[in-house]
Amino acid sequence: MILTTLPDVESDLDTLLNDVVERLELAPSLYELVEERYLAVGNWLSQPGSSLAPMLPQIYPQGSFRIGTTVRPFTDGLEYDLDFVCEFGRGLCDNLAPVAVLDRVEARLRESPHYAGLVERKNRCIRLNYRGDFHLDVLPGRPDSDATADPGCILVPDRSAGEWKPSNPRGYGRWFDVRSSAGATRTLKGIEPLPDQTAGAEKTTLQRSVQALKRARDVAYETNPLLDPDCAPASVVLTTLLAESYIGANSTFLALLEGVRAIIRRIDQASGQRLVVRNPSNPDEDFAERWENAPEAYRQFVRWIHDLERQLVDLHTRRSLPSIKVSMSAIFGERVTEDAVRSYSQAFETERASGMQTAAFGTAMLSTASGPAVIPTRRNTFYGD
Amino acid sequence: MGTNRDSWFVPSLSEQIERMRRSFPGFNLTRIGGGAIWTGAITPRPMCDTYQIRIVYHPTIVPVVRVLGPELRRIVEWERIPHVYRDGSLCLFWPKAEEWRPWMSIDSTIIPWAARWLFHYEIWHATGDWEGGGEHPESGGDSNA
Repeated sequence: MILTTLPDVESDLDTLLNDVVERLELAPSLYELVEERYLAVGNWLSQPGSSLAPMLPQIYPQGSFRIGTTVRPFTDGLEYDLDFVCEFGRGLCDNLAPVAVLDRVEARLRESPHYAGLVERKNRCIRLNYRGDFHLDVLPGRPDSDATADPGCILVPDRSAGEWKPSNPRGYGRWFDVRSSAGATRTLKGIEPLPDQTAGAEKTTLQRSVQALKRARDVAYETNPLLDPDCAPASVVLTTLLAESYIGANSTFLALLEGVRAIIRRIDQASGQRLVVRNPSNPDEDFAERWENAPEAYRQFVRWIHDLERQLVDLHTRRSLPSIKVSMSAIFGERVTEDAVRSYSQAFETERASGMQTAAFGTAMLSTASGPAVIPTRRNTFYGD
Repeated sequence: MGTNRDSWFVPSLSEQIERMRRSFPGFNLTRIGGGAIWTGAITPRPMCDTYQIRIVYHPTIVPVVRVLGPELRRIVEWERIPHVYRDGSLCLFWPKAEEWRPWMSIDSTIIPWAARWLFHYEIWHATGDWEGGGEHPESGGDSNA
């Protein structure tokens, strides 16, 4: 990136952090595979002739694939999770219990020899397990006729599929887009295409800071013996907290640090009660409800978020590349940090080879800054230049 | 050993001093014989440490640069720091294409090259590799003999 002003610590930290986050994206080949399979499954469920067709299913992605915040699993052997909703038309399955709807979706999938071997019935969704690559989780839903707030309000099976509970994945997606100012309006189709998840796609600062926070969670819960990975805070909770407090910082690092501090403030304001984190487009949905009956998980979350804040502040104050690398590795993982540092070094040399590198008066800081207070450092520099 | 061109364009000691005063006013200057010693602090990039360096200059020699502090360290006992001469001074000229010539001004060559050296020294500590070669293969043992 060609700056014409002197770089500062935040811009260089961001260079590293953005590189780390980009390396956690789906590889383009995997993304294409995900998209292909998602569209194929969507077609199978919704096409004319499908047993589900009379219920007018609409297929759309939800969760991190919808909002562009997927991160590669930290633990070897874990796979990407792609959630999508199969929303049936208004009034067309109102009398069916969640289990019955799940049964129908499962039955339709099993009708295909192609999918039958991949189907796994979960509590509240049907999973297609493409072992070694990823899972597709189909979440059935129906419009919530009681909700007047937002047309995207739906009902989905609760954790045990005993009852319908409120949700609003579409509204959430729109809300997140607005918060991250990415917001192109999406047109409703029968099957909504996946947003571009590849490393090349332009991510907003909010998206990147969410990815960084999720990664930090994954690393901490796997490597810190005091944190139980089964109790890790849900991605949707972290995402919502960050997006709610985001006020437009351009720097990924600062957005992350400010976001973590905002979470700490909210914890303090809750005066000992666990945080409630409502879906901004459906206040009946509390993303953090699992903490209600899991105080130890909540305590660990509080401890982790405080630790993370200290680590980020410490990282910010460090002044030497090896020391920064150690600190970043502890937060985000060693391999990905080392790759980012190497890449940073190569970019430095590319800058040098381009002939555009200058040295600042006073500090000799090397960058592409231009102006009267820098010295060009072209190779064969003649006196008098 | 100079060509015609070298002797016309070689800056005088005063001219080197003047340029250094302009570009690196924080550096201390000591005149010695027909030459000079500068000491001062440089910071290659915002996330890097700040290093005190000393440059010994005389029109008849290649300038000698040493790091006064923080002390340069090896990563492991048995591996010498790359691109350091036996006397502890820095080898700034790698890949071999960049070399000191008497018509060069110190402020636009030696100092930025020292900054670059220190940047790569930190990268070496972070990754174990001296990455200064860019697309060129590592030039390696030019200085550790």
